[in-house]
Amino acid sequence: MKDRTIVSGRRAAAGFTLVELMVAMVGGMFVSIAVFALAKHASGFSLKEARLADATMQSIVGFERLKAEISRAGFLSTPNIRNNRSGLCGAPLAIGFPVGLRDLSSVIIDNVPVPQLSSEMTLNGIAPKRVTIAGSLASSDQFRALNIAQGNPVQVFLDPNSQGMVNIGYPPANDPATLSRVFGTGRALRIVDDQGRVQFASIAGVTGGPNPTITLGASPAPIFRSGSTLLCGISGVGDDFVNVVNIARYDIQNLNNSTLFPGFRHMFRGGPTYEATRRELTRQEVDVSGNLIAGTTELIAEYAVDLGFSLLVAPSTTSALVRASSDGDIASYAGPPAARGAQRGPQQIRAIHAWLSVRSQEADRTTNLSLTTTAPGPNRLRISVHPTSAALPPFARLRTVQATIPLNNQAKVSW
Amino acid sequence: MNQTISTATRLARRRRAAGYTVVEILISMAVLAVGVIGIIATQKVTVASNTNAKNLALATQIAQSWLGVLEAEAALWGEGGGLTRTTWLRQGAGTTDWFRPDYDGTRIFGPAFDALGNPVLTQDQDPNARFCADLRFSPLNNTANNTGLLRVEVRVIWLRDQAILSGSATATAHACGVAVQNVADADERRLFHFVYMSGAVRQVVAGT
Repeated sequence: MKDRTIVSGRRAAAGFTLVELMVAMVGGMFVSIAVFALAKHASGFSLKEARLADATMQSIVGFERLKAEISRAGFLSTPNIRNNRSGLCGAPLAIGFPVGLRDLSSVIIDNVPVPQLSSEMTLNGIAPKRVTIAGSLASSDQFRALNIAQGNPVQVFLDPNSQGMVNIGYPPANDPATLSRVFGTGRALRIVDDQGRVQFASIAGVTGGPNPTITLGASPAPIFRSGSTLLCGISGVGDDFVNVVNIARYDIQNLNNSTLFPGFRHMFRGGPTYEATRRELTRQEVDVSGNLIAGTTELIAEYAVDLGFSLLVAPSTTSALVRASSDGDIASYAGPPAARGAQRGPQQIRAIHAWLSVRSQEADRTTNLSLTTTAPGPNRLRISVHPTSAALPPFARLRTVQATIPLNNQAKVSW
Repeated sequence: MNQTISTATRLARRRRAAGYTVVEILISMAVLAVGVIGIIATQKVTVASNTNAKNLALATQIAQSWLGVLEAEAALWGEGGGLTRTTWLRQGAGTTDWFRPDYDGTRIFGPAFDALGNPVLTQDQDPNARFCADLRFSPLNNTANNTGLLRVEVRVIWLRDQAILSGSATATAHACGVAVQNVADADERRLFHFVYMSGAVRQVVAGT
């Protein structure tokens, strides 16, 4: 009895046997595998959902910006300079008139140029559109001009103490940088003369100090009433008001180009597989000559896949609203001037219906999913990111937001 | 003393030889199950949160779209209160109750919207309809014919995930399946999520 106790005590002191250890290790391994699998799944799931939540936020935030600017289209500008006969001083089709001013419209909608599309969009049959919005987007004010001096160049002497100047924070520092943030070089200047007639000019530069001045470009030549055969124009004795007109384009672009967009190269440092075909919704300003203004590119929404529009238009002065949703109808009302139909133009648009689709960063779905809707609008819930076929996996999930935005600035336009 | 030690040793040895009891294993499995269920439940909540956020954003955009459309219609609201060129402002004239706007094929817009927020091309019985919008107008001035300024309210509803199964109200497979006058009833309103939005539209002298 005593010997058995001693043996038992030895066993207890010796710890676990090899078999016990192996059984425990195998059991522990199974538990570990299960726990690791669960943790991996939970982690992957969390990342996927986080990416989709990010896509949701991207679409919402970007779309709100787009909506806000569309709703300001035509503000302190013109819905369509070519049809804006009464009240306008000057001829927009005159020789030498810069193309950006000659085509000045509250909105112009056209296709995103093919080189800017990704293979992903082409394969999936997506042809996004872009919109160019014109209006006083940098400021809500009209600025009193003390005098507009005829000369070479023509100079606009602003009242430094006007409410508009106070609102942009110009006095008391009188900093030219503050002035140029509103009246930037290349933007258009809308001049309302002492008779209430409107003309458009281009901004060549500004001067700060106690006598803030806007220097106008040579083209288009500002019209002065004295000596003008148009019997309209700047009197040269004051009582004129001016405001900036910005031309902003919401476009879908590839920002992974360190030459064109050096400021965005931090976004492209390799990484996930599906980065090569990513595109972004951007906002860029266009100058009066129709060229993009350097340094104005802003990122509005990442991983943009589709941007689309339909219009609510009043085609005549007696009709109800009509939806223009086909490419031809949209071009007929809101396309570049050469594409517009007879008796049609952006001045007839009463509301713009817009949608924006962005995709998740990663392709985390193996099957496609779309709606069977026949409505004019998006129907994709997912998009294939396969390099050669839209029918093949993997698929990335999409988030789409859409809204109808009234163009209140031209609600009363009857021409 | 030796006898006492020997008994204790025997008991300990027996315990070691016996391994884990069924109760111990069951308890450990229950603890593991609780953890796993917790993780799965978290994932389910995450999916539901994402879906709810998406649906809330879509419903908000739908409500804003309706306000935008009504503002655009107000551009055709003629002098003297003439609503002949309008569609939905005319439909809602004369009532201050909620009403369901008719689908209009020319404007391609109506009460029902699909899962992406597209207007569905029928009045309300389309199985693609996921969201449904109702309107209510209230004059904001005191003129004889109540013209000039309207408060417009938009109510967008969409079905809760489990509502059809648990609700005692008549089941409906699509958002516009419940009549407009019944949406706010006690039995019906727990079927839906709601987004309310209001704005004002003013009469704009129409172009001639």
